[in-house]
This record gives sequence, structure tokens and C-alpha cells, in this order.
Amino acid sequence: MCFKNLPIEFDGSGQARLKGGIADPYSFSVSRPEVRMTDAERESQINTLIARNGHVKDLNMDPVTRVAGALAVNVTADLDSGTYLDARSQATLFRGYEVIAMGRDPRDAIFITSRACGVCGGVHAHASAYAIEMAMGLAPPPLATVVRNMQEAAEMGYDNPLHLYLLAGPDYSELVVKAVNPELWPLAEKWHCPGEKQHGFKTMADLMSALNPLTGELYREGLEFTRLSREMFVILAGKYPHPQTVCPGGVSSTITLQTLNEYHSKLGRIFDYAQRLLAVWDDIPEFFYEADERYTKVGSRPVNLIDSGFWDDPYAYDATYANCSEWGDRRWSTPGVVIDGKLVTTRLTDINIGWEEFVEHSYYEEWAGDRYETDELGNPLSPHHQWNKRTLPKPTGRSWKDKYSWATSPRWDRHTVEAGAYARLFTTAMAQRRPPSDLIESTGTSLKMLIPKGLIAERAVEWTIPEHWNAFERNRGRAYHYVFSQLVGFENLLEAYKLFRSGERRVSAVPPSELDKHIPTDERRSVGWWGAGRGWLSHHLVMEGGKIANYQIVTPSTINASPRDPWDQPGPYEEAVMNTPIIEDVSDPSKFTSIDMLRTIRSFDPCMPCTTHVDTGHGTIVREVNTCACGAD
Amino acid sequence: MPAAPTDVFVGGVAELWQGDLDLGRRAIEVLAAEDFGAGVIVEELSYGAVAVAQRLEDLRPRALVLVGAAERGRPAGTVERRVVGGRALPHAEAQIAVGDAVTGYVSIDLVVDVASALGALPEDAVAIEVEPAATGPSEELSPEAAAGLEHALELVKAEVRGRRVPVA
Repeated sequence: MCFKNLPIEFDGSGQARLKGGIADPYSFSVSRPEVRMTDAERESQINTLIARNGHVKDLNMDPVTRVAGALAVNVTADLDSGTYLDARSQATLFRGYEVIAMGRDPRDAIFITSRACGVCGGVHAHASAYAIEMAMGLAPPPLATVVRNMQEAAEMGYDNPLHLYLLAGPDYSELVVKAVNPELWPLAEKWHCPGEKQHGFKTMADLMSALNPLTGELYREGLEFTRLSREMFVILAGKYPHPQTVCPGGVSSTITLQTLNEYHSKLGRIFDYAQRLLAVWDDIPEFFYEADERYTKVGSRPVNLIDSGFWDDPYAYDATYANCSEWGDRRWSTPGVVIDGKLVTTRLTDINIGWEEFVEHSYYEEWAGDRYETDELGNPLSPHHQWNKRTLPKPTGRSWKDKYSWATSPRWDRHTVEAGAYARLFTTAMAQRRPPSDLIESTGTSLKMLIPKGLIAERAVEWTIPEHWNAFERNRGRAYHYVFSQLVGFENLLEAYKLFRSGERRVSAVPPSELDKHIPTDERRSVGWWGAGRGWLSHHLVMEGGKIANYQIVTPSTINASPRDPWDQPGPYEEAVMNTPIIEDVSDPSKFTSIDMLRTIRSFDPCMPCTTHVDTGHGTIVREVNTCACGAD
Repeated sequence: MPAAPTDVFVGGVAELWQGDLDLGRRAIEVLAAEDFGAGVIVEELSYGAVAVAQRLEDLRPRALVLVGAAERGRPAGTVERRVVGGRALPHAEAQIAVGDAVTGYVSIDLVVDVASALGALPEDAVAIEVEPAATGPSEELSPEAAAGLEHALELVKAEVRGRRVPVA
């Protein structure tokens, strides 16, 4: 029984149904999560503290981007006790891609959604193709699925180092540490790196110098490896980041043995690099934990994670919703929901019917009417489910008690869950369902991986479910996900060679020129469950008359940057910031950088253009705050 | 056979169907049909600026001509030529620009700042910018931007023709 808050139970055959005798099963008062503290209680606590001391400050920070200003985080900090008393994550920019997609040929969604973001184009194109082919009833041939898996392994190879070295890495560099945590530098100079043999840096100080932005060795190397992985994607798909060869039922690219060999030659270089990358991100947390135990609390929050799984089994995936829990189980990374550290389900149907999106604190109107009460299998659906949700923008002034963000609040079983590449490690390790492999093994508490020989010898590595869940473990998990994804790419490459040898060369269910004949004119519902470098990605589609009648995208940053929900539960960024201790020296408040909060937010790998994609028709919202503004509302 | 060296790289920077912010893509659709001859590459650059910088590193063009919309508070439809080559951002600002690009944003400024920070911006680089009037989701350009586009196209063509190395 995976649902604790929603009144859903299962019959003997595993069919979900609503519990009987409940008049309004999805009302906010009937299905309530346990909430540790309401906003009223939090406000009362803050007012008490303000009355007692003068160290409580309101700060508006722009922790992700300072040019476009898409995310602002408003925090109330007690510098005396070193705590964040409150945090509000505010997405301040919006687009209109879901609305733009309405009424169009469904295939247009592949190209429209891939342009929502400058770095996530490939994953959106794939998620869209999965949604459309489910609606069209087109199952890709095995080689098509294998090629998609290889493409998306390459995209992870691009995305993960991009974050680790160009966005998160500088927060741990010599330049930043000397400036904001000067007490750590003498320790770093003396601290010998356990991973020296793999990454080549004798002390943590040496490693931190290599993380220096623009000039550091690790920074420059990370940049170069993003190029290599992007080239691997281009070998297969012709173009990145806006591929035009991903289509419903497969891919439209020409795949030859030469293509596969070129991919292979580049992948070989990545294996040696992967050993180095892992050692770097294994050593950083160990140094910080040893230097000050409080770092285990930076960015901490309950282990509540969600992922829809990633990379399909070419012989199990049939593009049907009816069999989604079966083919989902065969994915390289297992779908799943982890609540309070326990895996509560791996079935895609459970994941789908427990998913709701709320707009009580977002600049949208609630939609009326339950268009669908069940999925096609008869499982109950919430009125707040993506197939029922409508995008009704309503820009208003900012009010913490009312509406304050363009992001919505997705919740599963009314729990605040977090998305991230690392969520795949948890679900796959815990579920032990992934198909047997020479390179990847799930143990229930860890993922064992064998990095093949490149120029240096092969190496067995193991990601173990961490004791603490925090900013450092997110980064470490992302590094292991890099390895995981490249092994998926390698295993699929071997499968591609096997298919070639057997004479199986088809890469699409039907020739792209014949797709028109397969567009249904009746009403269809479908979903593309896929993954991004930042975690969960879903595209829910409703088609009518051969056109898009509704299109709903949930991205990782929609989930992680979400505002409060109807029960005052904070979103993942908000919660992680409130759990973060202020460790930096605040003896001179004018020099306060909030580095601990910045490390927290950046550890999620935020991607803001993907988060806010809804039209109001009133033009661009310009950020209100671009730097520390003590005392601001 | 090695590819011909690139004399001029013309890049459009845009946000798809975001009203006038889509101008760079539309400009490239028109310019791609022009016969500029060998040594001139015309491409859309509406993606992450880190990847754009790597594209520039691969091609090492002698000159870069960017075209697109940019909000700078000028009267709507204003067309402006800005010399963007040969500038170096302070280290901290350069890293901020890289961070913005990694976060998914696309703009002329990010292309220029990140390419400059990563050493990929040619000394000879100009941006032909149009001040947008409407930046909300829309497939259409505003009348001001549509007029600005025509002017911008002429400026881009003149920039390219002025830089082409004559074929011997």
C-alpha cells in the first residue's frame, strides 16, 4: 500500500480504487499530509524572535542567475543563531510553451518543447516523442529504443559535468572558499585527498584551486568533456540541443556501423575521466564533514524523492499505458517514489495516479471540472492531475500568504518530493529490479558499477545510500549518475552492435513520411515519462481531432522550485534552505554572502527556463530584486 | 578535404515564438537563403552559450555577426549596431555569465559574455540588435520589430559583404 494521504486502496489484483464512503476524496481537508509547522506558526515564531533580538533579517537573494533573474529566494535569517527561519522560492519569469502547443499537430510539440531551454533540448524532444507515440499507438523497433538510450546517455554526459564544474564547482573553489570560509583554507592545505590516485590532487587545497572558475584545471576539463558528450549526441541525432531526428515511433536518423564506432571511440575517453570525476566529488564531502560537522546539514531535507525511470529495455517497451508498469520495471533506472527513505512504489501507474499539481501559491487560477476521473485502466485520478489540469495564468502582486511564484506545486500523495539525477540511484539501488548486467548491480542499499578499461585499468565503484541527505550528497550522487549514465550508453552500444549483426536495422515504427496516416482523430491521453540531467521529466498529452487539446510539462525544477502547497508544506528548495545552518562568518553582516544557501540551491542543479513555461499574455516579468536587499519584504 | 576557413560567422539568437524575441531566428531563415559565397556560415545560435562558444572555437571565424532582439530600453523597433568584440569581462562577472548559460538562458549578451570568457569570441564581432516591443508568447512580430527586422537584415548583409575576403 503506497498511498498514505490519498484515499486510494488496491484490490486483490492490484487495481487501485478510491476508498468507499468518502464524499469528496480529493478535498484538501479530507486528504491531508502531516505538516510539521504551518505558516501561521512559523510567522508567530519569527515575530517572537524579532521582539527578542535584532539579528533577524529578511534577505532577497538571486541564487541561480543574475542576468535573467528567474529565481529569487526570499529568506528570513537569524544571524545570531545561524538559522534560516523562513524561505520562499519565487520563480519570476514565464514562457508560454504549453499554451503555444495547444491546437497544433502533436508532432510540433517535439520541436516547440525542445526550445524551452538552452541546455535541455534533447530530453524535452524525447519526452514529447514518447507521449505522442503512446497516443498514436506506435511502438519503436528495438534499435530505435537503443539509439534513443545512447543519445540520452550522451546528453547526461553533457549535463552532469556542466553542472558539477561550471555551476556548483565554483562554490567549492579556492577563490570562493578563501573569500567566504577562510577558516577552511589552512585545513584544506593539510588535508590529504583519499582519491589522489584517481584525480591527481594531493591536498584538498590543490583540488580547490583546480575548481577555480574559468582557469582551474577541473573547470576547463569539465568544459571539454561536455563538448565530447555533445558530439556523441550529434553523431546519432545530427544536431544538439534541438534535435530534429526524434520522432514518434523511433528516430529518423541513419545509423551505420561507422556511427556506432565513432560513438564508441568517444565513450572510451569518458571512462578514464569518469574515474577522476568520481574521486573529486567523493573527496569534497568528506573534507567538509571532517572540517565542520554542521556541513552535513547544509541543504538537508527528508529523503523524499521521485523519478519515472529512464532508458527503456528495447524488448519490453511497447509504448502502451496499459503495460507501463511492466516496461517501466525493465528500465535501466527503475521508476520509483521514496518517502522518508523508504521505496514505496516502482509502478508507473501508481506514480501517475498519485501525482497532483497545485496552484494555491502560484500565479494561476484553479481549473474547474474533472475531465477524467480515472486513467484508461480504471485507476482513480485527482482533479489536480496533469490530464485534468488546465493552464490558466493570473498574474497578481506578490503575497507570501497568497500567490508568489510562476512555478506550481507538484506533489505525490500530497508529499513534497524532490527530483534529481541522483533519485535514479536511490530507486534503482533499492528496487533491485533492473535487468542483470556485467557493469551495474543493485544491492538494495547501493549501486555497484564497473567502469571499463580506457587508457587506465577498469575500476569497481559503489554508490551507497548516504547517511545524510544534503547538498554535498546531491553533488556526489550526480557524479555517480554520470558514471551510471555512461555505462547505460555503453551497454546500449553493445546492444546496437548485436542488433546490427542480426540484421535488425529498422529505427522507426513507420517511415516518417507515413506518420500522417497514424495520427488518431479520436480522443487520446498519453504521457511521456523520461528523464533530464536534473531529474524527473514528464509530458502529459491529451489529443482530440488529431490536435493537441492539452499539454502539461513537469520538469525537475518545477518540482524543486515549487512554492508552498495548500497545507503550507514548503517546496524542496524552501525546505532545504530552512534546514541549512549559517556556517559562514557573520560577525560583519555587511559581508554576508549566504554561501550556505547558495550551495544548497545550486546542489539541485536548477534549470529555470524549464520551470516557468506558461503564458499570461502580458509580457515578460522582470525580476524585482537582483542582490541582497536587507529589510525588503 | 578540409573545410574552407570561415571568414564570417552570422549567428541568430532568439527565443522561439516569444514575440519579438524570436527575431534572430527569423533573420537567419532569411539570411540562410542569401548567396554569401564560400567562407560565410549562417546559423541559428539559440541554445546554451557554452555550446555556442565551443562552436565558435571549432570554426574560429575571423568575424562574428550576431543578430537578434535585445531589451535595452530604447524606443521599440530601434536597430543598433554594437561592437562586441575585443572586450574582456572581469573574472567574477564572466563566471556569472557562464552560470546563467548553464541554467538554460539564451540571449545575445550571454553568447558574447560566455564566448569572451572562454576565449572564443573573435576580435572582430558585432551585434545587430532590434529593440523589441512585445516579448510575450506570440508567433508574430510586432509592427515595430517587423520593420526593424528589415533594417537589421540590410545591416547584417552589409557587415558580411564588407568583411568577405575576395576570391582570387
